[in-house]
Amino acid sequence: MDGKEGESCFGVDQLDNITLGTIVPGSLGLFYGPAGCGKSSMLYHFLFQGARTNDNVCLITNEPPGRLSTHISSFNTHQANWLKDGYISIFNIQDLMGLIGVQIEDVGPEDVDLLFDLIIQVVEHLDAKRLVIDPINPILHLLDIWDKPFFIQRLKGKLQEMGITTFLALDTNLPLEEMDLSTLEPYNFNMIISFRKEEEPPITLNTLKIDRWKGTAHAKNTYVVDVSKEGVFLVPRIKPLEVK
Amino acid sequence: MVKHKVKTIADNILRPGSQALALVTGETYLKSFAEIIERLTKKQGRRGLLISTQWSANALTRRVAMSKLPRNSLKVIDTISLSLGSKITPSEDFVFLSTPVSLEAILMEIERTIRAGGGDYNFLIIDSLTHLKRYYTMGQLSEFFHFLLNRMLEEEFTVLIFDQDEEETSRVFTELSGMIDHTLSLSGGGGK
Repeated sequence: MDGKEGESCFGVDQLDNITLGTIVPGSLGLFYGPAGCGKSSMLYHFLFQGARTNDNVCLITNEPPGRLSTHISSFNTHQANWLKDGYISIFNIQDLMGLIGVQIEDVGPEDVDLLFDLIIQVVEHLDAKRLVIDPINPILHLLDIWDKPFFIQRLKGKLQEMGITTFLALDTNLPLEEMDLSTLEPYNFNMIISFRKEEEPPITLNTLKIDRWKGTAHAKNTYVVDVSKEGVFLVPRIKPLEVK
Repeated sequence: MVKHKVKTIADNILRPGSQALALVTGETYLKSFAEIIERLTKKQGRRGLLISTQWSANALTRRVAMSKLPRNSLKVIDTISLSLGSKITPSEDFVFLSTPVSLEAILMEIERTIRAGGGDYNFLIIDSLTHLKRYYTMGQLSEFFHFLLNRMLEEEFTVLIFDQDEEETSRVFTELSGMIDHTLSLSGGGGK
């Protein structure tokens, strides 16, 4: 229960019920799927839940923090003091690159080590208990194919040691089985959730499926993700529509 | 199955958390439907949701005399007006979904409304099973109701599902009647 008895790990009731709310502190999770299908909103709620229990949490993103703050604040489930009082800290990945003295277009594989150290220093300084990197694509993009799993493994090892529960969001249109395993090494992750966009004219449904949730006998069902200002919630995916 | 008039439906059938399937045929349907909404809103002072798969917003406004109901007492999730091409007048009492709509869209709209209502809503009427049966398969309806009825029980909602079919032994009816607390046959009228 993320180290705190009786508290949910996402603050999204249905997901917490499905996964029995179990995340061991220091776990590493992956959310993957196309952009705009609910990954980020779900991860914001993971951070909200940390802030709700007075933990410091950290979001590393490629969006401008100001714009993202506005987006985050638009959820009724968000409390105004979380950003103001520093429970939620947002960093732009390009700003972090700037701190190590390089522009993103000039970053080489050797700079990724500096970036790695900087991320660790940031979360250590903040005494953060939860970290989200959304998306992880710009960092993976800097690495050659063999260094990617090594980077993830190092990140996992260090954050696990520090007890920081971390989720990475990966923007991709590929299903897990079609991903290049050497790029990701799925066994590095304690939790993996896949997101999809399913066309059901006249609407498009955003769905999720839990591919892996270590330590639970979670449901293998597909769920529809709904994001509104009231928050995020799931309803079961009913068999595709057949008009009689 | 015992025949009821709306006035004679026992209070325990309409208590929070109770779920009932109401069989109501042709000529008595409209009257029973309007009366039950009046009983829940005007007489019991409750707020609730109506899933309308049969009447457009304009038709419903007349059929149920919505203007005479207490303000904000009934939130209608209308799955018919858009497909009929009805003139839509934006109103906080109506949410419009396209038809045929995915059942998930109905579930999501119910969730959103419940959350936005902050606990103010406590009944759900589905009008009607007959129309849902036209669009969806038995398996789809079974999954839909299995989730919905469990969810409504968690929220302590009174659920009333209207079915206008004469045939009370349809598979959907049989399966649903095994999942809910009461099945009743409405004969219409106020029982005067």
